[in-house]
Amino acid sequence: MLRRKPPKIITRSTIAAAVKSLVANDDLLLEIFLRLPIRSLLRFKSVSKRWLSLISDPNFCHRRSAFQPLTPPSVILFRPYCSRFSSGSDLDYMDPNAPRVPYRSLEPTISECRIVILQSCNGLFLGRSYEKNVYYVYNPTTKQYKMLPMLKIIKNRVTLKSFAFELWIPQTTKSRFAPLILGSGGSAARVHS
Amino acid sequence: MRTFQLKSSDNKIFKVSEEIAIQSAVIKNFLEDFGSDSDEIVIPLPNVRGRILEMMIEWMVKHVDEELTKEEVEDWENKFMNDLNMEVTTELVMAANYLEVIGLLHRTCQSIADHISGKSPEEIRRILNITSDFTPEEEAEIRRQNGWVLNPSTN
Repeated sequence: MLRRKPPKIITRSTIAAAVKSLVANDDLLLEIFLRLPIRSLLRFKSVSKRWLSLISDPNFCHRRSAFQPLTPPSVILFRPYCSRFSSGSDLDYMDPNAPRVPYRSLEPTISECRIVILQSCNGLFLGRSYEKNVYYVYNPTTKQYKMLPMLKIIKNRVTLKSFAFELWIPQTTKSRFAPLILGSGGSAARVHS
Repeated sequence: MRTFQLKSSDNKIFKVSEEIAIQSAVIKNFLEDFGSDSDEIVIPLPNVRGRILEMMIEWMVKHVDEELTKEEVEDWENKFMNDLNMEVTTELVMAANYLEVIGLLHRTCQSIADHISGKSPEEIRRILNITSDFTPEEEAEIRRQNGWVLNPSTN
């Protein structure tokens, strides 16, 4: 009887084939992406066009939020009754052991109580320094902030009352949040981050 | 209890009981379609090499062992995964996907996610042999858009 000799396995090429098949399989990549922290996902958008499109896909975002439910808010904003005349809000921490949000010391040169939180939206704060008359968008989760560019309406000494983030979708598939600033006179401006 | 033979791509034969084998949805369907009482069934698995098949069977055996508590199984899973390198884990993902062993698929995907989560895009490309198809300008633009949350100093 003729017996076929078993094929000699070259492990290295078998492994390379497995990696290649994994990378070519959208379903499996998504299974892995589901289990990644959000920061890794944002970073991996620049791996390749395919990864960018898989990670940016709204269906994937829905699946991910079902898979890894969002953590409850750690902080709430409220406006104290006694400070009707102040335009700012105070912070209250849901968890007494939560790390302090260093929003009062965004810039070391600015003395503490000079930055006031005006609004919050989608987990970001709009803060204002009265000393410098500049506005900040602050992300308490990542403890990062960005100074808003000087807008025409700010130069005109219009006070910013509120802000919102709208999903701004240019012609390409790229999408991102852009702050939308509402001035006191009902004026609105879009800031491209 | 019926037993079957699973044959790997490198012609290694593994005898398994039905209870163990049917954790693979593919084998379960195959056996239902086959409908024979014979013990002589050989199921060829040309996409899985012997070493990987052996590990899958080891996994499936542990997951039908009723004497183990849930915690013991979890401890065993952790040790099992910790002993594997990224390459073998990748092979296991492919095999678990091919044979539809869902528990193993999820656990190995988690392991790969843990392995790559802290890596840079350049490292990912090197590990997974991916070529970037962005122009340098496009890549800079994506990084700029996400730079808001990607500052490494705040990790």
